[in-house]
Amino acid sequence: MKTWKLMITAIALMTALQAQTPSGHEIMMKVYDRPTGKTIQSNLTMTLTNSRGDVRERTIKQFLKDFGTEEKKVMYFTAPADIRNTAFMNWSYTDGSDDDQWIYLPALKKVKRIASDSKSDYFMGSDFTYDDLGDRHPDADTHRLLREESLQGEACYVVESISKDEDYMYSRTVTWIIKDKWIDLKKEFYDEDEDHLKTLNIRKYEEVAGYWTIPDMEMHNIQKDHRTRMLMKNIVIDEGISDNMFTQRMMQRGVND
Amino acid sequence: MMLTHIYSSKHPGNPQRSNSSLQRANKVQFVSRGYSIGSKAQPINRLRTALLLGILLIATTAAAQISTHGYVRHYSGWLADDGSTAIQQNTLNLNLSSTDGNFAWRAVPYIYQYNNGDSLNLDLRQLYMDYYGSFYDLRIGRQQIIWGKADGVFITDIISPKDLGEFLLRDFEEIRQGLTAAKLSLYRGANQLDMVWVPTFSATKYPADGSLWEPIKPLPVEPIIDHSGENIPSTLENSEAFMRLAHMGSFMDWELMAGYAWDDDPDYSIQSLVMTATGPQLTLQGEQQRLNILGASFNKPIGGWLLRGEGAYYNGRQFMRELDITQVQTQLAQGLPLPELSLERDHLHYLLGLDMNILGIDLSTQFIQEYIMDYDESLQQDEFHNMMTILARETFFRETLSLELFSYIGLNNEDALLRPKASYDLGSGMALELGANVFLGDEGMFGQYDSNDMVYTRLRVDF
Repeated sequence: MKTWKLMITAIALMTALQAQTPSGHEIMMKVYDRPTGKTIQSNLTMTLTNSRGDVRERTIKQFLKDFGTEEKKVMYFTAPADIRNTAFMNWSYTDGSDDDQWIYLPALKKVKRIASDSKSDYFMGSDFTYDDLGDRHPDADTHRLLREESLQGEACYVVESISKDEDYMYSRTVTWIIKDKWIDLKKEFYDEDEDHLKTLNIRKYEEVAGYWTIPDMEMHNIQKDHRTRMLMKNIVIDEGISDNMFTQRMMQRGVND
Repeated sequence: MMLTHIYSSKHPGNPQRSNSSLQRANKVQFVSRGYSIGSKAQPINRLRTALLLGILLIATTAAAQISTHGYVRHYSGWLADDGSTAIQQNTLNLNLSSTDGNFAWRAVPYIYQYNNGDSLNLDLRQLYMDYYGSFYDLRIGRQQIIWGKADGVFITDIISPKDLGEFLLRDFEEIRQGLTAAKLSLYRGANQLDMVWVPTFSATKYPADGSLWEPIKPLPVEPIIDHSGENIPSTLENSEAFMRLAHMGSFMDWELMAGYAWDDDPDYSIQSLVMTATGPQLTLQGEQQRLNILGASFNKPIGGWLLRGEGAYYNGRQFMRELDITQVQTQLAQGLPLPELSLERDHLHYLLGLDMNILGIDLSTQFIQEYIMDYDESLQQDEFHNMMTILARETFFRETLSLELFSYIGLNNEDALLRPKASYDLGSGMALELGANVFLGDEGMFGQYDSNDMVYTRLRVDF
C-alpha cells in the first residue's frame, strides 16, 4: 500500500513539475513578447574582425518605433567617411509581409526604394543576417526544450528550434534563455549540413527605463573565424520619437553627429 | 534634359569643330542621336566664387560647430586603342555644413585640376541655406535638385542642368550641376509638396570642342552659329518654376510633377546660306525655347522585386529636320524663304524598370522609350527611340570588394556602352576603383564613340 502511495505521490509531483516547466514554444513566445519599449534610439558601433585580426568599424545612429502592426527603423551611418550620411530605413510588419526598405545615398541626393533584401543576406558585411537582427516569430519554428542549465551564473532554458521552412538557412538553432528575464544569453546556429556555423554571445545586458536591453553582443562565425561586435551606447527608451523621423524628409536631412 | 536629349538631334553642328570630327560627320550621313552642337560656354565667375568661398571660410572659422568632410580623388584613364592618356584628374571636394536650431547651411566647393599642366580651378557645387519649419522646409541658394525614380536616365529629373563634358562618364553627383533656386517643401504625413523657383536659367554644359567627347553632328556642312539669341536675361518672366507632389508608402511610392522651363538645348534656325570659294557657308541662329512638362513616376514592391516607372509629356519641344543643302540653294535661287530647320512637336519619354536580387546579385533593368507625337518624316530623330539599361552588382569579402556592370543599350542603332568596374574598400574611407568604358556599334549616341574605349583607375580618400 505504501509503495502505491509513494508512486502516486511521485507521479503527481512530476506532473506538477512538468506543468510548471514551460514548453519550448512557450519559452520562445516569452522571449518574443518581452517588452522592449515603444521607441528606442541609440548609437551603434559595429566592429568587424577577420581571422587575421584586421578590424573595420562602422558607426550608426538608429531610431526604432513600434507602431503596433508595423515597426519602423531608420539608421544613419556616421562613419567611416565614405558612407557618412547614408541612411537606411526598414519597415517590418507583424503579419509577416515583406519588409519595405529605402536607402538615401548622399551622392545620388534622393531616397531610393530598394528590392527587399533576402532575409539570409548578411547585414553590411557583418556576421548577422537580416533575419538574425529581426524579430523572428516563434510560430515559424518548431521548438523543443532540451534541458535546463546554468550559464555565466544564470539559470537558463536550452531550447532547440528547427524551422518549418525546409529551405531556411539554418538547419537548427540552440538558444540559452535566462529563466526570469527571457533574454537570449547565447545562441548557436547550425548550417544546412548540420555543422556549427556561428555563435551569438551576449556580452552585456542591463535594464534601461524598466526594460531589459542588450547593449553589447558578438556574433562569431566559427567556420570563417570572423567576428562582429555590436555595441550600443546612449540608449534611450520610450522618450518619444516623432513619426517624422521615418520619412524621406529626415533621411535626406540626416542627423547631426 | 532626357538622356537622348542630352545629346539631342536638334543640334546642327559646331562652328569650331575639329577636322577629324568633321570627317567623321561626313562619313555618317545621319546619326539619329548622340550629338550636340555644344551650348555656349558658361563662363565661371571665379572671382565671385572665390569671394563666396572666402566668406564661407570666415564663417566657418567663426562658427562653433562646423562639420567638415570631403574627399580627395585621383582619376586616370587610358584609351584602349593606343594607350594614350585620356583622363588625368585630381579633385579636392569639400563638404562644409552647420546646423543651428532651425537654420542650417551647406557649402560644397571643389578644387580640381582636370589635365596635367592645367592650373587649379575652383568651383562650387552647392551653397545654400536651409530653414526647417514644423511642417515645411525652405532652401535658398545654389543647390542640386534630383527628382524621379529612373537610374541613369533623365525624364522628370530635369531641374539641375547637366555637365556632360565627359559624356555620361562622370559620377552623377558631378554630372548634375548646382543651380540658383528657392525650394519650399511642405509636409503632411507621408506626402510632400515641393515648389521650386529658378530665377536664372542655366544650360547644360557640353563637351569642349575637339575633346574626345565632342559628338558627331548631323549636318552636311560645318555651320557658323550665332549664339546671341541664346542668352536668357534674369527677369521674373524668364524664371523657371517646378512643382512636385510626392508620396512614400508601403503600397507604393509615387511622384507627380509639372514644370514651366526653358529647354536645356537651344533651337536653331537657318540665318543664311552663301556660296564661298571653299563651299557653302551656313549660318545658324540659336534660340532658347520654353518648355512645359508634366510627369509622374512610381515604384511598387512586388514580392522581393521592385517595379519602377517614370514618364513625362513635353509640350513644345523642337526637333531638327534633315537638311539638304542643294534644296536650300534651289529655294534661295527661286526667291523662296529659307526652310525651317526644326519642327515643334510634343514628346513623350517614359520607362519601366525592374529591380531584383537573385542569388545575392543585385539586378536592375530599364526599358526606355521616346515618342515624337504627330511625327513628320523629315525629322532626324526616329518617331520611336528605344533604349535599355542593365545593372548587375555583387559584393564579396564582406562588402570590401564590389563588382558591377552597368550598360546602356541603344536598340535603334544597335549600339551600347558597357561600364564594368571593380571597387575595393581599402579601409578608413579609402577606396580603389578599376573600370572600363566600352563603346559598341558604329553610330548612335554610344556607337559614335567606338574608338574611345578606355580603362581607368580612381583612388579616392574620404575624410
